[in-house]
Amino acid sequence: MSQGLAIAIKDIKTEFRTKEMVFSMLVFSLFVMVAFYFAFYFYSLSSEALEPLVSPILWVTFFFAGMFGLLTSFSKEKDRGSLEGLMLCPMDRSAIYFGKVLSNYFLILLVDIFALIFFVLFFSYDFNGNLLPVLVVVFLGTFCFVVSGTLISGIAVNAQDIRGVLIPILLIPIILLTVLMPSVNATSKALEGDIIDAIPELRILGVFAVIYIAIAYLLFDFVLEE
Amino acid sequence: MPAIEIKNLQKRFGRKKVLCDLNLEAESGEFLVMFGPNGAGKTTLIKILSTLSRPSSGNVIINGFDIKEESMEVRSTIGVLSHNPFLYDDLTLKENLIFYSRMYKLKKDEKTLKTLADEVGLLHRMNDRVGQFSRGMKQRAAVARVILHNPPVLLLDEPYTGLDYKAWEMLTDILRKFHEEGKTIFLITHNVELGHRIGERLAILVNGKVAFECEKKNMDIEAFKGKYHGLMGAQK
Repeated sequence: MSQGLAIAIKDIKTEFRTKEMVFSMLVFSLFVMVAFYFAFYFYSLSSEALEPLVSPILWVTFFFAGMFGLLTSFSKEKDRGSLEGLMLCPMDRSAIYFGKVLSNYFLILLVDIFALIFFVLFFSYDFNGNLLPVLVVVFLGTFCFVVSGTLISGIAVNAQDIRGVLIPILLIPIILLTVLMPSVNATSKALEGDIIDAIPELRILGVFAVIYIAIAYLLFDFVLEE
Repeated sequence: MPAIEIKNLQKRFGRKKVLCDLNLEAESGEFLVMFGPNGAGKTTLIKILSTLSRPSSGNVIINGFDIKEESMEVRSTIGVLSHNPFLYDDLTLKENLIFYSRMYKLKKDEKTLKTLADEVGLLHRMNDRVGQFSRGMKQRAAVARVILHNPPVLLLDEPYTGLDYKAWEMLTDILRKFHEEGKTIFLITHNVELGHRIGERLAILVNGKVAFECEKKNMDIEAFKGKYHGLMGAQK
């Protein structure tokens, strides 16, 4: 675990120096919000019409912005040759996965929070006073997204030429059913003020997060091998 | 006990056999140099020895540990240096060494890290980002990474690629020093003159098999070159 933590700290440190991944995720989420803002502006939609769309808008933004981060999570290590350096260290290789999960979670969560701020600024939305339950869903949904996405990113890392295509192809169907749909529903329920109603969706997210982590723990040694 | 023991090693990629019943031993403290043309299976062999790839069949024992059953123990007793330094350009040399110390669960204080950097002649660049280093300096920094955990066996895959004369000489001196310290060194190279100069025992890999093996003292450079070029023609 200490090695996974060291990988996460290293990733976050290098990311804050280069700002490659976080910057593109932030710019993307800003552009998505701008696009939605103008769509609403031109069609003169009322705030009542906005209400059922809040949750899908947020999760579409989180998902596509987060995908930028997941796309490069392992490929950067592979392309600069440092992945082999990590694989040579005397540890269970699932530690590499857990390190990447920690760093991706931190960075994507950071972008999610900025996306929420952009949403509030563009749509003058106050979350009906239910920001805290929404944050709970965002934290858990993002975690499930990151554990599954990091696994897929690891699986695709050796497919050098088609990596950029393979990750979305593998990720979108899996995420859509196991992360996006429960997260969107749970966020809608949280916005209505009753987080208790969202427990079935939160349970689905939790169960799938455990399944993805278990798969990664058992298979990551084989996943990284060429 | 041999430091490296390879028995009937085979590696296949689909139907293609890259290593075919390869047998080889390196005694503890020995400097073994392996030559071979492109496609002979040299890099595949190093990847298997360093547990980056699994053998299709056969046994490999390093320092008494089986690479299939005890891969973590193997990894803690080897140091791998290739043409790629495995370092992070956006971190300083010191940060890179601290990171790898953590990965090897070592407690390295400032003084030890400085000694290590001094050993490879990079003490004055400790706080510079590795991305600012020249190719030769990166390779020296990689040597510091490799010896961080003081491994008794060093596996070197074409570590001289892209080095200028000065860096080349410096790396050779460092390898000689390690050999004098009793480390087992397994070097893979194309460079016959270099390998013959620094190695103790020489082997030639052709078509995934050890086609020739000899003690350096039993064969001068010209005779060895003749043998090597003769065998190169046999590579499919």
